[in-house]
Amino acid sequence: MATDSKGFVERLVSRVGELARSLGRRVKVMEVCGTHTVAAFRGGLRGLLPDGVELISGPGCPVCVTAQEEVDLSIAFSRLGDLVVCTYGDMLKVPGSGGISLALARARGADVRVVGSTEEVLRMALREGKRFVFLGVGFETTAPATAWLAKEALKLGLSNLFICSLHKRVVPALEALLADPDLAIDGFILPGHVSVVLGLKAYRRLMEIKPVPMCVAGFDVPQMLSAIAVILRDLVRGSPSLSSVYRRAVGEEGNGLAQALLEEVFEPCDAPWRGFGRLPLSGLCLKGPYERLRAEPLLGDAVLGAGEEPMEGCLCGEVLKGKVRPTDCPLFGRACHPSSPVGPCMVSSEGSCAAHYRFGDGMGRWGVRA
Amino acid sequence: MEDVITLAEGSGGLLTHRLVEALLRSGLSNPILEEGEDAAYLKELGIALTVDSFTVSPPFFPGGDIGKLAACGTINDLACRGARPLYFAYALLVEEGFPREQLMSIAGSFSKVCSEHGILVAAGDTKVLPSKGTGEVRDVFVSVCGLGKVEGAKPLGVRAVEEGDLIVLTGDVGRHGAAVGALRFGGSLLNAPESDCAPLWRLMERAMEVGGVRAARDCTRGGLATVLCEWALRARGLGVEVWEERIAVSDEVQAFCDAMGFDPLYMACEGRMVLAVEPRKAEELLSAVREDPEGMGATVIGRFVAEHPRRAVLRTSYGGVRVLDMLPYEMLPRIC
Repeated sequence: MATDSKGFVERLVSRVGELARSLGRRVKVMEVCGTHTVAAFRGGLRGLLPDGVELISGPGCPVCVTAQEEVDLSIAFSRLGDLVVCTYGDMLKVPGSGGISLALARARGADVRVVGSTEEVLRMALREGKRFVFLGVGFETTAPATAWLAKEALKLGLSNLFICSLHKRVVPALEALLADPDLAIDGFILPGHVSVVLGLKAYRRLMEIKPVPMCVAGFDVPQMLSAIAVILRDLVRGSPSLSSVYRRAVGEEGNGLAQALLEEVFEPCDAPWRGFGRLPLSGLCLKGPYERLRAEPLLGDAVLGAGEEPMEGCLCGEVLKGKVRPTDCPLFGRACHPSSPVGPCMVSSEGSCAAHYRFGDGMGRWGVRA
Repeated sequence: MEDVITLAEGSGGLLTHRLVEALLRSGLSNPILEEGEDAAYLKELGIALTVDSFTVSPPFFPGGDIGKLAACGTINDLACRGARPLYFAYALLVEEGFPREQLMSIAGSFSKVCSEHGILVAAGDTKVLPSKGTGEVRDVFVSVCGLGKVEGAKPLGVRAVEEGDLIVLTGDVGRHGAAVGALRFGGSLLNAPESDCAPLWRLMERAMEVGGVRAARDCTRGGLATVLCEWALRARGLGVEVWEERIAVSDEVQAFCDAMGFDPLYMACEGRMVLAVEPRKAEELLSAVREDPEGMGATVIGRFVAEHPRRAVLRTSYGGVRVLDMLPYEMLPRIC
């Protein structure tokens, strides 16, 4: 890391301190992206913030917000014979109702394969005779890759490739957070990658619902500190704005090609979220000619897991809404830790609980002073 | 605990440790094994003994192949105790359908590294396994048992470490993990970084000639962070402190890790040594190690401290603090 970057960070820290003192009250800033959660911990960001500024993690980890019924659905596919379940790695260890996960299903003989791209799925489906089910997980960042896969499947006339779309839309979740009277978030650090796809324009209508400072940041400490400085400045001035410090990647319009793909293949539909329940128009469902690629019908009458049965004591849902800190959950570090997780917030590599556990908070739990 | 063994238990972190503990409890345990170093010291014979299995897939990667990896990995495990590699025994398992020319190439790589170090391959075993699947990829596995002579009065080991000892890292981290990971997850998109796979005995010879080396580890599966955690746990009553800005990560490795959501500190290296060094010998040792082609990037990255015993702590470039912990599960690429 360049030494001038360190000086830059020092100046930012000092600026954030000044602004916090000007403001004279405690503030809660929420970062809405699992990658931000991890970046904040890796860089020791919390230790650099003044006492009155609290950084909390939101529902930006796609694996964490996948509802229990959706996890059970994914695992149900693995029980079908002569079928390959393809998934992004992070879904592998999420426990479904009854404790089984895709990883365990694989260990017990199911054909579950981790893929790094939808290209891999296509290649395998073209080469092998088995049925392939791709679990489309992720926000608008990964949904375009799923849309591409759907288009290719139709174009090539593939009869053995199916898609289970569990994709979620970020903006409806932000709306739900803004609408929650208990929440009182003073500002948002908006997700970087989703914003590359959707552009700043996607968030404009949120400012009309409830004007709160929102700033897109990249994934390192200088970026996140810059965004926090912008948010605090807005609060001091009393003029909330929507902006971005992630200049090299995020513009007003976003990526037209990706948006066109999404438009063509998906339509917004109601979807279940862990922690939030059913949010209207918050999911992406295959539409029109692409509907026939839906994987769900393959299950027929198969009985899924209990679905909505909450894991005893798990507060993942409350953590995702920023209402509870991971360390406040009674299971944290006791019955629930990364090698035997109870909920997805601990399993996912970008889950808030996992990040808290792995990186510690610099003090307290580890007894280490910054 | 699941009723079947899972892949996560092979990742080199916490779950692997637990599995090994459970295996030891079945009657295998003894003081030599419990030392937990990279090679065992057989005192009566003055010999270090190690065994390792190599299962890397794909078997060919930028910077080497499974044959080179097997030879280097075994040499390095012996070198960690300060032992000159002398004899190897190998066991080769190859799946039916594996391309013949590729197997010969792998054997050639292995034998080249051995002959460059005067290592005699004294015994070996070869098995062909029936093919398991209908997929195109066939597997080859190599296990190597290495025997070396401990030069010096006693073998290197973390139990000899004292407060204030410095931690030296011989080069940048994460290359091998990124090289193989890019092939596995990067598909056709990334230019795979090159593995740092290399034998480190010559480098260790130079280091031991200067003296002051208390312990050495090569950071393989689980990466630098795992070694630091293990050292913190085993150095009696001491903690480990390292400084992020001293730990070099190349641009390609950083880019790959950023894309995948991996942490370079936990990515495997196959040509990097971490040394615990007496402070008064550090400068001389650094000069000597930097003369070696594999040690040109050698730097002091941290030290053993009295604070936070049993904990390895990283001071980040921005002045923050992060506790390093054992990897609780296999690293899988993040989603978005």
